[in-house]
Amino acid sequence: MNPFRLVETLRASRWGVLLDLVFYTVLLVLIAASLGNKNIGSNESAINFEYRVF
Amino acid sequence: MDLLEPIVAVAILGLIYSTIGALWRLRGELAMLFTLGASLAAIVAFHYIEPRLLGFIVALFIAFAWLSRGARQGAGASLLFALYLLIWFIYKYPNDLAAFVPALHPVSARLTDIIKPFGFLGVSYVGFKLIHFYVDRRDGKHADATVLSVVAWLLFVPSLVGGPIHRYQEWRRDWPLASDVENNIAEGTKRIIVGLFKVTVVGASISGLSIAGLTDYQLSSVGIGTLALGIVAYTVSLYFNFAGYTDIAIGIGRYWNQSLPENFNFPFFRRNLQEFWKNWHMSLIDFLREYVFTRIVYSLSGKDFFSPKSLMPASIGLLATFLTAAVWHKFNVGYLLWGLTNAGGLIFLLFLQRTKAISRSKFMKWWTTSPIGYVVSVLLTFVFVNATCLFIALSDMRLAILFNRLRS
Repeated sequence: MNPFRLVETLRASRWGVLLDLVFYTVLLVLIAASLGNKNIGSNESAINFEYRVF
Repeated sequence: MDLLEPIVAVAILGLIYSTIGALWRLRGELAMLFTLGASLAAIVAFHYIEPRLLGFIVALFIAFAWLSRGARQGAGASLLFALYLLIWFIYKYPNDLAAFVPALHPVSARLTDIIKPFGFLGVSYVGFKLIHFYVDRRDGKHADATVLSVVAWLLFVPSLVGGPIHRYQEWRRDWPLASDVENNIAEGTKRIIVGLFKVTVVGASISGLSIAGLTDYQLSSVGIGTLALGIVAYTVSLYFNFAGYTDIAIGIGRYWNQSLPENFNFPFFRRNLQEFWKNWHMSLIDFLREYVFTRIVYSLSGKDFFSPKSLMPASIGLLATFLTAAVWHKFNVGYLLWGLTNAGGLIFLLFLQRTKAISRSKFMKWWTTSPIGYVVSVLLTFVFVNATCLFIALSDMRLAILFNRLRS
């Protein structure tokens, strides 16, 4: 089965909430673990360069 | 982290706003006033615009919106529009121009001193909105716009600093406040988490490898493989950072019941430069297409000196569009080269598409339908985009160091 379709089917089922909960919790844990990364907002970060032109 | 903290704070404010708006069942002008108040509170609290300057900007926008009411826009609106453009350009360009013409340095320094108090983060994006509204009003659109609605839209905080460029008709479409607050908060929160992930986890990890982070000495000494990796890392991290911030802005917009336009749609999986530009920084490209490209092509197409099938009007339009995009970013050699190479690539593509012997050949039919053709096209487009990004990843001086090294 197509993996994308499988995910969509699961998300539409009663397991969807649980799937979302696990997915977004994993993302949040990874975000929290990365907050010390010095490249966030550093001069080398491309967005900061873009930010200056805004 | 300097950009991330205020964005997260605005998101929290948006949540409070959304909840209070729902509890009080705000509708119509009262809801609009509440939105403007919340935007102003966020702007002041997070120092997006200094309070005194904010007073000036709000007064300017109120006067502009007032003079834009009714069937025809008043002449005063044109004056105020020109004043904003003047502030925007003097805030952005004197230093760039002085870098080209050193004799301008004392003038640019003086101008910068005068105009500095009038500049603020987001001056460009608010400027785009102002151009959109001003030109549309000249075309007879948005005749029913109220002063409150226009000012609340111009200062709408989720898209104030870095877009996406939010059109007035999109803003009006999403009013009044929806009753589906729970869904807005859930979907908005998911989008913000995805955006934060792109910025803090993916973008920040890749940007450590970016060519922009190499020292001058490294630029002239590291291997070609490292340089190539550095360019790819720059382009990909630019995507993840910018797409991430757009996700966050769109997510916060949902808290305020606004569906901000999308900016990115898998641009690196596109099979040619034309498709790439239809899916990269889409709100800016749509803006430039409507207010630069289409208007130039339309005005040139009827002229006698171009044959009906001539590529010239579209080519001139593409060149003007990408030079405008380049100069908006920065007035320097690197950005001009970036604009010229992208316009050149698109004009070449247009030539291929209009040449029937090529576009209708058996090879092209196979190429556009086969998986091999798709994969190779995507790779070639990616390489081209990265090559043009090299011009903007480095300052002119560092670009010269790199070219000297590649030449020797």
